[in-house]
Amino acid sequence: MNMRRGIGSLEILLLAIFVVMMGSTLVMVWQFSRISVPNAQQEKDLITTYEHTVNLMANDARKARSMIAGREILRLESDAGSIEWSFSGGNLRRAAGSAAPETIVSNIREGGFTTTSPTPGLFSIWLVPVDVSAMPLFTSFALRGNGL
Amino acid sequence: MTRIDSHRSIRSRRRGESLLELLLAACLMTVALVPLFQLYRISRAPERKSEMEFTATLLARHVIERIVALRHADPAYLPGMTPEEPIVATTDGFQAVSEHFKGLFGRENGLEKADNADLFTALEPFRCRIDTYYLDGGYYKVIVYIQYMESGRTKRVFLERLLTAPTSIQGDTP
Repeated sequence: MNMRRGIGSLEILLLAIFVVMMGSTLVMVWQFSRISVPNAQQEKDLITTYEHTVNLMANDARKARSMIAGREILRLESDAGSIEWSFSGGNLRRAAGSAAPETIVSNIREGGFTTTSPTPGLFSIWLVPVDVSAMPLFTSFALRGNGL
Repeated sequence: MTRIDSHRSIRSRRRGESLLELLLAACLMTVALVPLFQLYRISRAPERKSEMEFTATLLARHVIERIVALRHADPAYLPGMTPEEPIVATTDGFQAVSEHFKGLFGRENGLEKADNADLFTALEPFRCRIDTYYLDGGYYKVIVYIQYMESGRTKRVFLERLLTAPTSIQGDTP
């Protein structure tokens, strides 16, 4: 007596299980790879903006020989001329020489420059964005135009 | 005739068995992909910096730049080793703020919440530690560690700076 071999055979069943498992694994891998932190793009944009600001400021400080620092204005003097950084109207602007100011960071709620007496050649910048969930920025730069 | 049928039956059964084994192996391999993928996810480098890591890098930069500025003002200055210290004034007030973060915003004992609540909250999770070493050739190595907690794990960012040590004090790590 021959056993009937049809669509319901064990091999076909296992093949179906394999296909389903392989499919679900691939879907899971795809889903995992898509997982990201909410607002990741916004966060990345902010970090990119801050990195650009820090790089610009580090370049300016590298050439600067002296500075005049106020609460919202910083003037860096170098052999090539002066560069002014300022907070105004919720923006951080940079103006090189007589050129028109360029907005580097916008949507700032509060920000400023600060110096301390034991370190005359050092200035710090801090800023707090309008968006309360966005990270503030704080870092410092030493003037290196005097051979540092 | 019966013998031929028997051979066919055996061959068919063997083919079925080998297909069965193949499918079982494939099933196991598919299941094994899951932990492998998890391992891959854990082990690969993060695609981008987190906000905490970025802030920690900027804080380490502050310390290095401050050391550079202090060295410029006093070429004999060498930063000392420090344990992990907060970088803003603690609410209990018992822990001393790192010397590299004192004097900011005109506050001798470090930034307080009343001075700038947003900045204080952002900087509060970080702690600063300084390690120093004398190296051969009259060099002095400073390593700035900024430590923080993220996703339940302690993380650390560090920056190094090589300074020239005054010959008069070589041999002792401050």
